[in-house]
Amino acid sequence: MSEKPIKRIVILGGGSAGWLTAGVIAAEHQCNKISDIQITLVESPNVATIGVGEGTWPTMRATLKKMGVSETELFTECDASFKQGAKFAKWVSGADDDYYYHPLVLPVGFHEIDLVGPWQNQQRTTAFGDAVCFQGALCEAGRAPKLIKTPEYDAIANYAYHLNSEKLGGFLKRHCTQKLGVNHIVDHVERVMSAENGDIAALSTAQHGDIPGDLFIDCSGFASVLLGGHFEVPFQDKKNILFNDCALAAQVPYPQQDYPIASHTISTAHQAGWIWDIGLPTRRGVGCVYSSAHCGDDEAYTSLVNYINATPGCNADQLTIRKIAMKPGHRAQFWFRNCVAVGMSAGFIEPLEASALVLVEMSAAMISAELPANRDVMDAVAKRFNRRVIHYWDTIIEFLKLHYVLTQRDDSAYWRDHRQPETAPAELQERLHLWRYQTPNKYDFPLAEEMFPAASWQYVLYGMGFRTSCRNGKVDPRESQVYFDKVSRIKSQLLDQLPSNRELINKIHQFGFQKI
Amino acid sequence: MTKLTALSPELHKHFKIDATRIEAQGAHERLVPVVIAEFSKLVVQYPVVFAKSEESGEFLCAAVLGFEPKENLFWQEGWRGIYTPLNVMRQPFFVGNENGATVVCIDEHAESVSLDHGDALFDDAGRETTFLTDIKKMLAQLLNAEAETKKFIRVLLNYDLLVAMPLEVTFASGDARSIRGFYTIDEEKLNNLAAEKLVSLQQAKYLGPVYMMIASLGHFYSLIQMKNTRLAERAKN
Repeated sequence: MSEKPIKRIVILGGGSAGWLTAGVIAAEHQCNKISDIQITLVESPNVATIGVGEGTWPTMRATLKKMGVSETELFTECDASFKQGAKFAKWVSGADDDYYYHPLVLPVGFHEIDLVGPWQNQQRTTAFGDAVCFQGALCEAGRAPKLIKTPEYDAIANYAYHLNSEKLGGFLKRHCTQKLGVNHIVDHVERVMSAENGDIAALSTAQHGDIPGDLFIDCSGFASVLLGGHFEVPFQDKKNILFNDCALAAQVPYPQQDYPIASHTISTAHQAGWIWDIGLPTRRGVGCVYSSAHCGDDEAYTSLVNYINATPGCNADQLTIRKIAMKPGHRAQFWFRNCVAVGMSAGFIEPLEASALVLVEMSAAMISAELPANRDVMDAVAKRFNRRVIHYWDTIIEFLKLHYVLTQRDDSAYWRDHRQPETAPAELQERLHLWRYQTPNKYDFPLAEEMFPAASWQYVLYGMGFRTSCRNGKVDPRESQVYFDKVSRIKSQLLDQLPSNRELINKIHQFGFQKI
Repeated sequence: MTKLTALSPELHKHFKIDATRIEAQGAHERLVPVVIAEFSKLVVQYPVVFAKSEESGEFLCAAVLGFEPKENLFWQEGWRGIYTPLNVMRQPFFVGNENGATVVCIDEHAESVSLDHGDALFDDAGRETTFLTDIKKMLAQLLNAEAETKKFIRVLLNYDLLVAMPLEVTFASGDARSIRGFYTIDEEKLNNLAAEKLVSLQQAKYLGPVYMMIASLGHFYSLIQMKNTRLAERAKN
């Protein structure tokens, strides 16, 4: 062990994970000024980066703001659009009118009152999400979450982004190298050089010789070159819980240039999986996720084509459809010796709740905040990191499984298998048992920074039609009615005020947002 | 309803402008966009702030005339201010854009537009009158002044000198208002501005307008006073 200070950070991989991580650390440690931290990102010239889903969490706003990125430029250079949550269609019964929202705005009065019980008693005819939150109505009406007058990164209704993830990588690269002082090397890594103690000493490249480092961040994607390849940290397969292992992806042009852009992700269940539909200003990204054990490629192809053709003016025959193999699961640990994996090198799970980029942000933020002072303390930091990130993976897996276990669909083995209790993690089964008598609350999720707040669990749980036998008499109906009325009031005010998603995005391109 | 039409001798040959009705068109404006060229006349009476355009979100300079939507406390059966902002005086004319060219437009439904009294725009032969020529001159000046004001704002934004100015106002009646959407000069940042930036403000002749805007904020107190008087009168009636 040594007190050798950690100064040189080497990031392997130039996808959005690599550049986000570089940007988060470089901004916090002011690598563009006199700093004792030096960041070098090495990327291979001919490894294609794969876009891991085009949806973010609202956390991305704070992440980009901290990095000093202009939100206007994000919109103009990455084909960004607003995302105000997800609409889950056909997940409960599979009927045409079956849908619920998982919005990004918390239930009204979330920190003051638990409205689940009152909603079950007073608001039976309104879906939970619509009774306690105005945002689903904004999505249904295709509205933007703010005005052109609202300063950049500020929201009237909480929002995240849909974006072209390939463009995001290039955009962040320019920002990191031009503004944040990140070194960029394009070269093949031919060998990983070990130090005597078993750490990584350097990455040996074809043209640039050895690139030495004190900390190596593996952002090499599925290949997991350092953590999986070099250190052989085992991969834990999660297909037994989340069956989906394939996707067919297409880019669908709009029928007309001024066609409305949905301001939410639309996730529509099919017989053996679901279809994502993400609206960018330029095109929609549509893809069919499925379980190869339950569904052949042809069947999935038909589901996708039927979905695309259901929009008048869209024809799937003219589109290129790309097949992506997915391997749900994650490494047994993420920080091993002086190497930490961020992004798909750490693990991958279907993009049902857009958890990929948010996990990158949270990992990068923790690495940056806890950047070990020297090698001596690195193992302690690694232990904390591993403990936290494994918790994140566990919660992501449980939360995604929640979308499946409560289905009433009975039209295929896929949905029936998802209902089998033994396919759900024991913790989730325990939670569901508990939630029959009490609602998801802060004691379920005790960390200050959880992946998904209790509110998200409530939206999905009650969206899926779950019922909790709340203790009666806790809340005076007159008191809860005040909150339900508030939701209706805000809903109609905002529907009056807010422009359409397309209209605001056009204005951003024309005028930009103000910084204040 | 406003009806903007490009001005032409064919369409508007018989149109006249009743000068006594021009200011009335600002009777329901709570904010009037202003230009730095008129700051010295404005700051005698009006608070001058930065606000954002509803249409584009871009900053503009504006004189504040009231607290409620459509409230102009300077209007009481006539304009009660010593000086009336150019953007009121240019009514009912606008500068528009037609296929990339700048054109003068008229709001045909404006109160000051008349067919029987006021100043004619065109003579019997369809030639423009000196009255119209003067108006066009004023519009051209205003257009230049607006460009200059935009530049002024751009420089201040680049120097990060704007700051939001949330107002919490309580009137004598006990009524309270939270007013958002006004911005002003960040005096602390101005005081700590790097010397070369300060010199560039001085050379661009921006220091005058900057300090006039800061000083004009005191007029919010007279505006509150005007509102109190109006509320008291309303209570009496």
